[in-house]
Amino acid sequence: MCEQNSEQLIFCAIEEYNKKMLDALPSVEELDGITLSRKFERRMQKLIRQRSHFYYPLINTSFKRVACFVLISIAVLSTITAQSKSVRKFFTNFFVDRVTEYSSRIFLSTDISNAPKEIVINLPKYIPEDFVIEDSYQADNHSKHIYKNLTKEYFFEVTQYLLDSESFSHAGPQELIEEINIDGIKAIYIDYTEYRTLIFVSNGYKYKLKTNLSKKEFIKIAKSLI
Amino acid sequence: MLTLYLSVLDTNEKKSKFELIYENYNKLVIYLALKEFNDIDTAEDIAGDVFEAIARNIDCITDAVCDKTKSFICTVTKSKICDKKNKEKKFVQLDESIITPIEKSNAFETVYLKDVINCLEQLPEQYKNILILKVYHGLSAEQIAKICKISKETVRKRVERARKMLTKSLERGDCNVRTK
Repeated sequence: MCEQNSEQLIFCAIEEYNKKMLDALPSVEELDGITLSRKFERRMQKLIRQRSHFYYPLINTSFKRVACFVLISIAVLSTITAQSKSVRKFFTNFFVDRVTEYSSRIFLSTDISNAPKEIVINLPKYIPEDFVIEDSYQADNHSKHIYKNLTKEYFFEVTQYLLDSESFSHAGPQELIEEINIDGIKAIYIDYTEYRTLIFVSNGYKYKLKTNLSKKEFIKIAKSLI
Repeated sequence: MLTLYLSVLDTNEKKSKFELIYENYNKLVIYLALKEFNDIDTAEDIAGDVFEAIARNIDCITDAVCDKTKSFICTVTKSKICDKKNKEKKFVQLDESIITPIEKSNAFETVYLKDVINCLEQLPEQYKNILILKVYHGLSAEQIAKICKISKETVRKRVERARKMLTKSLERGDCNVRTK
């Protein structure tokens, strides 16, 4: 009983206290002298406008929570998937296929774990008639041989590289670049009209060929390197 | 579709309620803040905090213009003023003897209402405001915590301490609540 009385007394005391406080407050006319700054008015108008949008409570409560949950889920899934090689490969292949499909970039990929660490020069076994080596040089990671015919009108170059990455790509004008198959090996063929280029990987080396000969002759030379 | 319409309608009602509250009480809030700080910038900062707290907790208010709402806004304003003062002072120390737990008390058996009012007036502002919000305006600890930007536990403790201070003051019969 004591507690009930005390609670009622406190309530009544607060009620009386509030009445006294309200009576002591200035009237509306007395408050007319107070002017609000523009900065304050702008802040309040912004608050009123925010409250008027029906999505405001959603954005400030549920949306934030959902966004955080989605971001955390993406981060966790990315971490988990990145650790699995098969899943990484799947996503890589998916990405490569999409880029290849919708752009003019073609990818070549290979296993470099058993690739040679030094250049062992491999020259084409088929050389068109009247062609001789015009120039050649070798560096640590590549070698280049340039062949020309006797009249110097036609040429073909063979550049041989050490493999330094599992995959690489080559881009060109979409109408000129195509993926072809040379004896079961995927190659990138680009025809610039004045000359043509062929890029492929064989026996642990990357080859880049360039010529102004016909496509047929060019592919014959490339096949003799494989 | 109906739910969306009702939510918009409902929001429109809340918007007009908040706008009404702002239009009717903005100068009163500034007046109360100016009384304590005598600086218009500080007063407007406090007023901004008050209206933001009201906007976030508009559901606590039923009628936009009435004495109870006016009292509520004044109490929230005083609470924000008290917080501002405490931040500037950095530390408010209370007399420990006042907040010693009292298990049983007959303090309220033989007191008059005016004694309780006097003791209530003498309570420290931060405890008085929270007690008023809890007892008179009927807000939950969670609602008070959102308005005052404190934890629910702090609200509970302050209400408890306010009651104990009142009890102690009434027992002593002097209504002098000592603070340092």
